[in-house]
Amino acid sequence: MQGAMLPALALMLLLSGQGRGAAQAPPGTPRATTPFDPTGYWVAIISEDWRWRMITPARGDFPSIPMNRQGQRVAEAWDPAKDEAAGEQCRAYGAPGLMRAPTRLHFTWRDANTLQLESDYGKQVRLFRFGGTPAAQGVPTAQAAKGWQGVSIAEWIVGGGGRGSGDARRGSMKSVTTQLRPGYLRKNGVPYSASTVFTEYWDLHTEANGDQYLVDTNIVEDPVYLQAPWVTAIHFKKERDGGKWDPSPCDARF
Amino acid sequence: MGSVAVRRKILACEEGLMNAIVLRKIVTLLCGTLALSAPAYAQIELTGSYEPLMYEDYIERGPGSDLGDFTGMPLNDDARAKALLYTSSLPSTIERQCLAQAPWVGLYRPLGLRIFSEVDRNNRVIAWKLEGNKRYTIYYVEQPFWIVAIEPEST
Repeated sequence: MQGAMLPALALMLLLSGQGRGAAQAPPGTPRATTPFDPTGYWVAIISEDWRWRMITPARGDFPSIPMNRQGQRVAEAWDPAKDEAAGEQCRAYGAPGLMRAPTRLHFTWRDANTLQLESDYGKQVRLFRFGGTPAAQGVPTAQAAKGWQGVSIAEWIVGGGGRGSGDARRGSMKSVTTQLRPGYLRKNGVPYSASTVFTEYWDLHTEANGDQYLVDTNIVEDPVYLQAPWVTAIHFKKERDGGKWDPSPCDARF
Repeated sequence: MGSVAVRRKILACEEGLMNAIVLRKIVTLLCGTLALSAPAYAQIELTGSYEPLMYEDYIERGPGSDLGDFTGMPLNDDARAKALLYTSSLPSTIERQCLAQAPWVGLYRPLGLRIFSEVDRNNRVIAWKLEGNKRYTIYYVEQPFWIVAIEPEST
């Protein structure tokens, strides 16, 4: 399996140069100018960190997350019964934790400026708003009050497609999520605070056989519980339809 | 219950679709920027030194898994049977001393990486060379599409 790395690298290099001469997308709304189509159903590929993503690790099992001492103290005090009693069983389903979960995603356009992401794992909804700050986006105060998914501001980072260049448009979606309700980075109580800034870069890769993979590069920055940004990349594979969509509620234990 | 069902379904699903995935993270971190760049002769600069971020698969990439622990790898029965034959004395034999030195393993290990370019007479980048504990080269070839060839280099 590891032998796939070089072909994958080769494919990405190849993809970076494909599509020369393709038509340039017309200017307009974020939906109209998308450099790739994220809509549809996607399933998480759990070939990395399986032992921490597919099962709930034991209390104190949190290697590879750059927590500071305060973060470790909080994580070691994790008690799912307390979370359940407090109605906080969705703590591991906030945006920074949700994206590493064993979930399916469903992307749709809510409107021309808002991309919606649903998860069947915990039945969460994230909204990616294009076009500036939350205030500029008219995010209501009630919604801006810290929710599990916070407020995500998105932008396309587009390359190629310049006039006369002969290049196809291509690019990433960058999103920055703030105003998060404190939750868990890992199911066993690894905390993130309300001060967390969650930056993501979404990239689409198409294999030679037509399979599509959406790679979500995560950067979690938390001045309260982390001593360095936590950088990971999560892979999702495109599914033909929603036939395997299986919503389940938040669960503090499993 | 719902979560259990979801995980079981994902587990079942993964068996058939994870063959080319496990190290894509590293590739993505290296090439995410490249994917945004103009394609012709890679008009961005990758040259430099990079350090690995050991925030995923820390155990497998760092201290190493226990023998027989293949957690997260979608092995089939044949591969599992072969892997179970491994003993730590194998790499001590001369003919097998490079077992863990394949280039794709090199990028997975906790080792730094240096990238530099190869240019043609017009100073266009025609290849990127990746050097960790091994060196290998990724070439651009236009015929008529961009094709990437990989040529591992000997030690």
